[in-house]
Amino acid sequence: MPKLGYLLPTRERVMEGQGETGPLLALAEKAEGLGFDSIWVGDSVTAKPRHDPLTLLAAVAGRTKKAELGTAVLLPALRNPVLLAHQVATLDQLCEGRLILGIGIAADTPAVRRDFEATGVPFDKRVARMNEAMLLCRALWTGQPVDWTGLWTVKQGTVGPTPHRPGGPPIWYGGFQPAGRARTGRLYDGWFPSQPKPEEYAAQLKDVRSAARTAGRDPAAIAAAMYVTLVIDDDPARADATMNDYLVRYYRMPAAETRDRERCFAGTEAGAAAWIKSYADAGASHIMLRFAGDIERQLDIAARIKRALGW
Amino acid sequence: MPKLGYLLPTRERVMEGHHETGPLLKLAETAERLGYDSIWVGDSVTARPRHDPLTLLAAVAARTRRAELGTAVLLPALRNPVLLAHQVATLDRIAEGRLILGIGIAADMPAIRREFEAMGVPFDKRVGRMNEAMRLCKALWTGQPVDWSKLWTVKQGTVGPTPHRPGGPPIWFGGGLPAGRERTGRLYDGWFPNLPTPEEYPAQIAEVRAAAKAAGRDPQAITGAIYLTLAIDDDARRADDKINDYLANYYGVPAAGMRARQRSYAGSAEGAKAWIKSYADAGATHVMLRFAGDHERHLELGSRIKRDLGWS
Repeated sequence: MPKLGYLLPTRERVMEGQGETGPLLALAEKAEGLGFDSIWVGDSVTAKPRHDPLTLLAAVAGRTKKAELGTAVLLPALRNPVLLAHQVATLDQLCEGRLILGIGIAADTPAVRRDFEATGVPFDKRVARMNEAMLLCRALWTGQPVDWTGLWTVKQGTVGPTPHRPGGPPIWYGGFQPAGRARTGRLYDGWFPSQPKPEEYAAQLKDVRSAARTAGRDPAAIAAAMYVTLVIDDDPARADATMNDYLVRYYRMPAAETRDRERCFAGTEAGAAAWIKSYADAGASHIMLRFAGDIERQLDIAARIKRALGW
Repeated sequence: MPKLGYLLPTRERVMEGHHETGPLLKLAETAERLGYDSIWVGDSVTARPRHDPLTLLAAVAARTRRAELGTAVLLPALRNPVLLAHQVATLDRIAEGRLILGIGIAADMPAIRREFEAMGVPFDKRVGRMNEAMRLCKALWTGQPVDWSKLWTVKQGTVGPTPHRPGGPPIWFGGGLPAGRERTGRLYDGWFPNLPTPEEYPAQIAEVRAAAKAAGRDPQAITGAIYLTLAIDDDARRADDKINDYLANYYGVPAAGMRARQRSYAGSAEGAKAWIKSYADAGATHVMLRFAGDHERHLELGSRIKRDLGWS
């Protein structure tokens, strides 16, 4: 049965000047109560400010019991991997193994370059930096003393608790271009893009799985996920306007550009149900929804769609 | 009324191979229910492994309503200050302003030097690094775009939400030496040592306050706190064995050395009460207790002492 996830509006709330976390925790509890399978939080430090995802997810872990919790997506290259391994392991203990670590590389924009500068990390070779960081995290998550000489130097290092799940949480990579698909199959546990259309998804997922096979990994063990943005409204023109307005405010670029790059749906409940189902039919087993516009109402509608689809 | 705090045994649990956080969150809930004013978590990454304090405190914040939450003590020099400001601001939001940021510099030993190396941070000048890091955090906590170019470079940077409390959580410094007392008065909001005896405390806090005054700050606004370790047992010899075992186990060095360097108490509940009170009499307004094992029982005893002292 495909799983349905929900992204907490941390960026949106900070943009609106509402820094409180109480309402975000209430949304997480509501999503779990409505039967959502997972709750997600995005990441950015100074480029598109929002709450720190690992800290917020620790609080969500303290308030939920069943839903999986994930980052959509974390930028590991901005963080020291020893400290990251340490924090993620503590978080995975707090949620008792419900964590999914969605990771990505940020787009090359001036704000993201400033993000790297502020966190003291070179921007160049950030993909290799991310890959080595995740390898080092996995080494530390074994609980065995780690010796490492690469971008980082560790001598017989161990960090705090090991994660709840032996070996650590599954790592899903958000890369969508051919190189990103190959990297996912070669190194990671799930594929979590926001770009493919339903009709493109199956072929791209096949690239991921064949890269896994080539690397001697089990292709079927790789989770197939999808990050989508929706406005559900019975008035299609209003849905469209809400979506465009949301994307412009969020990304500060013309909505058409973002809609060309990221998969978005604006329209009726029946249309949303068919669109979500089309990804499942294309092979996605975990679909994460980001809502533009009013959240409470759309959470209820999405929960109804989930039931109607028999998920 | 002096406040009484309780340190969660994160290091102890990891040493025992109990990595689960469920029992730690339960201890936090128990402490709050018993009336403790604050709940604390220590810090170390690879030197003395334990849970990450900011992550764990976020969950404690979600499970408690009233108790203050603090780090005892966080090592800011190990962390990038922009990420630290970001995490602390989010944590203070979750705690709705109940956060106290206890900070310190670690002792100079091989394990700590390896820790700095693993985190990619130079060990030299770590005090200057900590002070600049905290200044940068405070700048970011205003919510105004920050330009910074010293150890770190920030251009028109802002991070996530601002903290719940305008300007951010109070910062308490754990420095026990003269330079640390002076630094506390000049830069920080509280003094949180584990070194002074009750007899030494008044003169030392007077130095902190004098340094505050010299820096043009309000000396009375600086909190006087103390970090204490206790084994309470009516059998004095058993209490002594417990604290010696605990310290030797925790630090991997002979207990006598640690007992000379950190204030600890082993003995009856009556004696513990008098000892805790002696710090309040000496001017401490926030006393944090670290228990040498046996947490449920010690928590009860500590809460009874609190009631007996009229601190609730």
